[in-house]
Amino acid sequence: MKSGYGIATEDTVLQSITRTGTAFYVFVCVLLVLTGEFLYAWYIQLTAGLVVTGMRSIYNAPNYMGPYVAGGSPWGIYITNFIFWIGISHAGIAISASVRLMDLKKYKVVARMAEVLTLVALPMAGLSIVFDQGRPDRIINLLVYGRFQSPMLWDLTAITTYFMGTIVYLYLSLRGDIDELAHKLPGREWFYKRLAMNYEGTESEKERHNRTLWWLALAIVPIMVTVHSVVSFVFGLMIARSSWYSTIFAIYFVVGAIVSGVAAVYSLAWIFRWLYKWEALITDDVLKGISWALRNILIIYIYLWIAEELTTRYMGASADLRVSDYLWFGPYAPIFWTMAVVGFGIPAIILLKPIFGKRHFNPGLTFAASIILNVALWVKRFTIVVPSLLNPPLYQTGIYIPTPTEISIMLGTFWLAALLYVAFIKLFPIIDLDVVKGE
Amino acid sequence: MVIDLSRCLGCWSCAVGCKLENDEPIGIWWNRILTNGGQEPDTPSGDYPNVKMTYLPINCQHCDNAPCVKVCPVAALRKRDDGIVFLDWSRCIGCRYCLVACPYGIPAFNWGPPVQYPDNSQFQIGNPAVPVRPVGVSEKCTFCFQRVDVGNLTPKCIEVCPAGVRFFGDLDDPNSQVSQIIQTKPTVRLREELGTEPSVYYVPPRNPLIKV
Repeated sequence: MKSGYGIATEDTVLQSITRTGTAFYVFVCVLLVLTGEFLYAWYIQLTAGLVVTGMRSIYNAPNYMGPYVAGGSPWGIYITNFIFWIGISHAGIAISASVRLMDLKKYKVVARMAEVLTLVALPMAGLSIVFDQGRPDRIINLLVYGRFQSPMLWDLTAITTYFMGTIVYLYLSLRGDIDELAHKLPGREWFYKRLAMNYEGTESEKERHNRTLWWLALAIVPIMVTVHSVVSFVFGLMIARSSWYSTIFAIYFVVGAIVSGVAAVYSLAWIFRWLYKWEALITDDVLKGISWALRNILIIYIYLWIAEELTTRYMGASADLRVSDYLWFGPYAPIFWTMAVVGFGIPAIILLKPIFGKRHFNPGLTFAASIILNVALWVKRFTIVVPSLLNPPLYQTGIYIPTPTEISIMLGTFWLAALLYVAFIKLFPIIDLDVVKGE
Repeated sequence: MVIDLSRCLGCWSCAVGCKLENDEPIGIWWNRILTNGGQEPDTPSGDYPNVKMTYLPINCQHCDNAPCVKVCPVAALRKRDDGIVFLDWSRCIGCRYCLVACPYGIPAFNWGPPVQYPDNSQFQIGNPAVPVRPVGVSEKCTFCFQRVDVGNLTPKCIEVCPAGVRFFGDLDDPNSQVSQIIQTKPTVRLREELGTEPSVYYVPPRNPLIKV
């Protein structure tokens, strides 16, 4: 045990598995009820079709032809949610991989919770796409008839590769801990023994695992950049859509995803620290380190954003300017400006404050900033996707307002993600046991 | 196809004929008539008294370099050898990427179960050769390939147009009627700068068409 971690032992870490209070059951029950509500909403959508959502075709047949005729946006909060979850998934394994590649021992304590975040977020992104399909029963056609001409296939390939990489990476880094748990928790030995697959824990075995993980980490970093780049290509390559069609999109999306992912990892680290009193493990120093990374990436993101807005506003093509005007002064202006000022401005101030003196770092306040940032980034993706679709070049079309059913289904991914995460922390240690062993 | 805007009356006959021929459900028009002034039909453009009224019938442009075909992930949208772009309803997964990619806002989506008025169960209105569309797929103009393939019929919009606005033929054949018109009259294509190479040519109206 390293002295730096104070009194933290393996039991300190394992209390997330062994200690289960009433609050936990209440939390899970609430999540289950909400998931039930989501499943009901999804059932409605599956039986009635996507007509229950607020999405409509880009279209402007005359309004008097019926209530559903005027145009709208063919993509809405499901696609927004998809980009959001891909963004969340981003930092997870990336943080973990950089910890390994750059040998940042200090941050190893948050590596595991970041990896699990990726693992949970990616299926949620996939699920958002399934919600969005008109024919979810034919989703297999993507494999049967898929062609690489379509950016959507690039997405499918990159995301599944990323997902497989994450699973293997997580399993290999978890295997030693699982073996250890088999000894620690005799009641569940049958489960852990099978899962550890004859892990023996010899020095040569550990060394082999570490070597494999190092190479996997090296492979995962470029995959991670690819994943969000191809998500941006789904939008950025569409010449038909003003304000999407630009070179900056891939960089913009990747940086945005890293902001969202690092913020999510910060939120999680703070929550676990508060929940299990892990101040000795997740020290102020670690949290401050993450928040500095977050601050730097956020500055790059805001810089890219300003460059993008300036290019449009100063002498933009008329179609781009129309979308921008719609966003700045149109029906979405209230959420756009709230997002810009409250969602980005306030977290930026909170994160920038410690520059002027280290004592200004406040973990709780930074936690609030990290949550606000993620909400703001969700809205930001919405303001990228929808206004451009509502301003087709030949005519203006209607407005997009998500319906309650649609919102229930979208929120369902959050409840499911929380449930999966909770299930993980009750089965496996959320902090690498090597950390407290001082290896 | 060539559309002579100097002849168009804005009567919507092509739209209605198309809707009947192809069984298009409520809320979906493969053929629409836009006016330059605004959203509603027959909206003049300009400030009173200097107003103009021009029509722009719009249907699928059957682009040579079609963005919708490019982005379709399952090849439900395909291009035939004769240049017609069509959508295979039995394969479409309903991702609506074609709606997003099309610069002309052409593909429409069956958000709910398609409803036709009058109902096809009482008597057949549309062409029986048009398959029944399921819920949750996109659809768009096919240049009535069910008619073009059988004998020498033209698309329905041409047959029903009272003013002879539209012409249909082989653009590769220099002696066809459409090629003759393109050679003799000035023509424009919609949003040519995007490089989509549309196959629909418009002859501008005598009062020049304002901003297409």
